[in-house]
Amino acid sequence: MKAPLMRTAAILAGLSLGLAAAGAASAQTAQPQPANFPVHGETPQLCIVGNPQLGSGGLVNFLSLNGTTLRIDRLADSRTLATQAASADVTFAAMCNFPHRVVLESQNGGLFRGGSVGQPPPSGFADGVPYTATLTWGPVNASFFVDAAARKDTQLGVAVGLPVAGDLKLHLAIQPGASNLTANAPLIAGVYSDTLFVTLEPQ
Amino acid sequence: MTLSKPLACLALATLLAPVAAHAAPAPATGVVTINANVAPRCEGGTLDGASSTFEMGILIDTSSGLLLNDLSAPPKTLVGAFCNTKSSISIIATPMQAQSFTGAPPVGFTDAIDYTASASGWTPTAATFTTDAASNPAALQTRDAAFTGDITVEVSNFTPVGGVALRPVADPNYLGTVIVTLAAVS
Amino acid sequence: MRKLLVPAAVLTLMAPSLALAQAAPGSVQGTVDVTGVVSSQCQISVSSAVINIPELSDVTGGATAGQLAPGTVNGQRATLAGFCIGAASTMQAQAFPIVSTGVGALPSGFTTRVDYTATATVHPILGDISATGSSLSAAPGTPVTVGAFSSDIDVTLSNASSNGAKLISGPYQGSVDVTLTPAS
Repeated sequence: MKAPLMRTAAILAGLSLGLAAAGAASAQTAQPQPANFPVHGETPQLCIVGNPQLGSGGLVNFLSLNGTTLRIDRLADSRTLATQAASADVTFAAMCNFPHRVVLESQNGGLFRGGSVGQPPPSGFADGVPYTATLTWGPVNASFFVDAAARKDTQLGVAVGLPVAGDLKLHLAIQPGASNLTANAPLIAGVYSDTLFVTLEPQ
Repeated sequence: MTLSKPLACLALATLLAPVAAHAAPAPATGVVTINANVAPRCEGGTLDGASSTFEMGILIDTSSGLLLNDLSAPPKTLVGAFCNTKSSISIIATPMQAQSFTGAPPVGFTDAIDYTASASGWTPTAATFTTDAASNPAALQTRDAAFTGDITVEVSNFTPVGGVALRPVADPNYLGTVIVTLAAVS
Repeated sequence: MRKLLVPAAVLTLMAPSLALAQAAPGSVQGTVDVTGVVSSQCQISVSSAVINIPELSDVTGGATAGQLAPGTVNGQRATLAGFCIGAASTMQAQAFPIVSTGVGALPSGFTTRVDYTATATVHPILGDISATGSSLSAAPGTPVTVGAFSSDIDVTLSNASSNGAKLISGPYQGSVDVTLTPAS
């Protein structure tokens, strides 16, 4: 099962150059007058998000992180076809040098099958798996429950009131038996995936 | 009675006052004395170029957010400075400070940049000032005799205040000042 | 102040040998011719004056900053006084440069010397007469005939220059000698 993840969001805000200060006064007369030279520069607003790395929490029922793709080992129990628990910690080296917003966006709204969009599964079968993405970034701890109620884009945005540099952590967790039907409903066969975007942007 | 004898001739010697009447008369001289003064003074010269501001541009590497390690700007010259007596040149600089950012910078960030400023051409050893140095003994240099010449001012060696790994916070106006002063020494 | 030799007026009694006059018989006659000569002389009655210039250099900035500001010297004026008797009496002026002493080796572009021209003017009845001298010359200026006069002697300065060099700081001094030489 593939669960491709995020995209890098790098934002540069173009800012006007500072105005040059008035010309230096030349020192004159017996009263020495200093010559002033302003030193001016600018630091534009910048956010950087790196590629995901496996975090220290390790993988449960995830095979590997390949590029930006987290592969679940066995999504469904081979006997009951119910969802099996899985969790992974993923970190992104990131920074924003200004107060900003972090947005988690689920493209599908849950783990859904890639094909057969629009066709309901047979009665009694579930075709979507909810999961939780817990975000830790600077002062922010936020939980994003992707509920798989409907196949649609959902997002969670959180204001971050200060510049932050360091590891942006996502803890992904799939509960055992989670489904968009009833607990422990069997999952219809298919390739379940979602794309999760992590965006750092101006407020 | 007739006097038959002629009178004796009186030959009078010519009486002359004992003065050098025949020598050249002596000249007379008057004197106008001129007392004047030149006070000690310096003039700092004229800036060569339109602006006295060192424009460092964008301070960070946009792929990392860290301060660029090759920040530089062309030097600035004060042309035709002079002092008519012994003089001193001094330089002082303040770190580039983010002007809009308030409060303490968060962990991992800085809001100020240190650097070194120098003024050369006036004295054999340039006057230099480093904004994060504990002391700047080279900031004051002395010239023993009158001099006329150009003073070149440069800035270099930019580093984040607090450590090289700290990223500058975003701000459109990081501003520091370099001040160069020429003074006559009495 | 210079000591002046004041030649005394000389009255010469000249008595050439007595001529034996053709006197009337029985009388004698002697003759004395009396002639007086006043020798030419000159005197300076006000023999010293001072010109003070508190600041010689150009303090306004610009291309001539630090050089002599000619206006600080040009037009300066002082007044002596004197007289001459003797139609061929002459006057001459000698200007000594305005200099600062005790300065060591001169840095390039600097000087301790200001040159100028001094003009001395007397006011005889028939009109002013002037003599000039330049400090560029070690000798006095050309003498002019002033004749007999008694008046102020006005000394004015002009043509001042530091020859394009800046003036070293310090005290400066110069002088102008005005000499009257009597002649008949």
